[in-house]
Amino acid sequence: MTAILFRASIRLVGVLMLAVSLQAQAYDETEYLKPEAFLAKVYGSHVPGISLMPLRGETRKKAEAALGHGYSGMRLRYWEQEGTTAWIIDEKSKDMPMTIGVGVSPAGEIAVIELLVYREPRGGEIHQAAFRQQYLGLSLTEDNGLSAEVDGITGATLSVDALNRVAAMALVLHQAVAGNR
Amino acid sequence: MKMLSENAKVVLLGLLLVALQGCSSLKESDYVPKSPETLSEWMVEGAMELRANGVKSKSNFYFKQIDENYELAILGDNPVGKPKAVIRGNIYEPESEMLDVIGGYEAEKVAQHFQSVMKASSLSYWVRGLPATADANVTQQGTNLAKKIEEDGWKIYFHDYMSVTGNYKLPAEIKFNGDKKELRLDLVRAETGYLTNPCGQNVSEADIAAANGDETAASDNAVQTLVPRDGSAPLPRWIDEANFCKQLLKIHDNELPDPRVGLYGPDSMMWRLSGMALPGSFGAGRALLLQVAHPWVTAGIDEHSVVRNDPLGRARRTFYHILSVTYGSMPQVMASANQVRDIHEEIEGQLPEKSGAFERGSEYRANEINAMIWVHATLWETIVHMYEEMEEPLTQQEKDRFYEETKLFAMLFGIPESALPADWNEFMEYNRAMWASPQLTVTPAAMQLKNDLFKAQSIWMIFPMWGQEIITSAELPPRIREQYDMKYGWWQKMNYGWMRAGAWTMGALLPKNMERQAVYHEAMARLEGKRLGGVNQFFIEAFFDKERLVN
Repeated sequence: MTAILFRASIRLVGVLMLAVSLQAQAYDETEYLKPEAFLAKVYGSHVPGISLMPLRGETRKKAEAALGHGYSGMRLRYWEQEGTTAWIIDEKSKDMPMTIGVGVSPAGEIAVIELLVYREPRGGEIHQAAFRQQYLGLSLTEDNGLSAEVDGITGATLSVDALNRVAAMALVLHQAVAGNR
Repeated sequence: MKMLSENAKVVLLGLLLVALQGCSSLKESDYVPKSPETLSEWMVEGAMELRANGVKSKSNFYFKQIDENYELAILGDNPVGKPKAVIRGNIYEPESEMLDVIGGYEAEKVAQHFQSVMKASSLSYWVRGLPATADANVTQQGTNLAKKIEEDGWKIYFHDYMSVTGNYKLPAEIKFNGDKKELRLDLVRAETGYLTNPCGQNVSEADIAAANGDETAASDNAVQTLVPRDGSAPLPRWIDEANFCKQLLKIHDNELPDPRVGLYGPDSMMWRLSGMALPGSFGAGRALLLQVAHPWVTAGIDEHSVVRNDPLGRARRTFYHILSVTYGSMPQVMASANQVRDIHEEIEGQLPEKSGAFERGSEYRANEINAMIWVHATLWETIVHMYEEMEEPLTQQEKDRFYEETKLFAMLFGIPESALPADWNEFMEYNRAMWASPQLTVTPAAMQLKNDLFKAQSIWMIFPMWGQEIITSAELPPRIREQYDMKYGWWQKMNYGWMRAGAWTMGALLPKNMERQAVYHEAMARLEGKRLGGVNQFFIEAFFDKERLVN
């Protein structure tokens, strides 16, 4: 009797475990572009080595003003070649962070902007090239904002806001690099 | 011999099923982690073994960084003991590194041995899989994951990574090879934020100072405020982010001194009641259906959640946060509390039709206090109800103690303490009043959610969902059961009878430690400074699609 109950229990546990694991779904995440591919879009085949920027003092204040909140992290990795800088920055849209790549030209204008990873179930429309096109050529205003308004996307308001913040932050950081040169 | 062969068949069947569905679904899904560069308040802990200068040193350790300042603590043999020696410094000023010895000569020797081969400021980066300087040669094994770093005379190999809170992956096993020197780090766990401040990034100190506390929620009789006698809906109320932060600070700074233990700990009623696997799993459907019998809750879920397409995913995310707050360390608790508030903050709207006590067009918010108290009540009343049904009766004193513990949980979700029923008896008075109140009305949307919840999405789910529906039908208050159009006749009673007998038999036959659910074991491992592993690790990855919840 005990053996029968034991086997029945094992079967029951097994079926329950497998049932649940079969239902398992992966994270709500899309990786649109690898960092290497983003860097290739900015620099072509000659990608420079990594540079590191400590985020302290006035630069930190300006970056956080552009971001609209405190930045979590003590330094930033970036790439620089002939005055063009590239930044890969994580920023929360609704609940989860998205990873955004921004390339800034020597003139301080956005030359490339790409959504690398999106981790929310909704709002990934900001990946569309036609939308991102609006950012190209934008520069930094005196109050650390973008030089022109970007038309939003219905249902992706938080993601658009996050992309605006990151674009402005990248321009601030670019200025800091240019100022140190 | 025959019995052995029968058992072997069962095991083979299990293995076959695993093979058929693919092992990938039994492990956490892969994801692109956030860059560990974005950590400013974090810590890792584990064991180190250093061989250099003909000497071998071994010790448990933790490495903690708060903004620019770091500390490497030598713990000796006890992985959760107090630091015996601490190397402190500033990441921008490596030369300022200092050693404080608290616990004797052995710890001092280990710390000095370490300092003879490495700056702890560099370890701040390497232990996260990052280069310390731009001169490093880095080999990647995926976005934000280093495989090898060559820097400062070391070849550093990252053999394994652990998934930790906040979408990060940090190295779990690191080997440093240098000229006649070798260091091995085995990391057990990590915290990735909320070490010093429990609030989100958007609240300033000035906001908190200006916050007026929970005066708006105070009332003489909480039950009458929550369930007006004339059957009308209670007045909507909520607390803003600054007051929410003030509540978190109260818990974080004043009430609970040990961040490793978290809100409760193994001596609490909370861990005793929610740690048992059966009451929770048998009561899950009851709690969920009681929640969605509240029209505001249903509207929030129906219009803003992906539950329709992914009911199991929604249940998984809900229980992830409930279990993180119940069993997590204090930083994990605060991370979950902030995350839930952020998610809820976006959920607001108007009721599309009159539903019981709520008028058409009345505004709802996920962070509304009355609705949150109801969600909160369904969890704890159900846990006690099912525990007493399936395990043992509780004394009045035990219920009062449990209820006091749940108040901390409520505060973490933005419910002011003064808005809650005062004690267990008043809490039960509130539950009974709600069961009879028109505030609980099963709308067509709630009915649809119920149907979605119990709908088997694959052949494997037919039996578990059928069983869960019968259990839920048996345990719901009769008025709510009838509104959901759920039957509880002789057929359901008979089936529930054998299910309970089966559950009891399983409880009696399975090893004692399997009575407790996996997250309880994971929390216990954290308290001992260990990783989880084994069958409980398997359960967590299979159920939550996460490598770890509270370790």
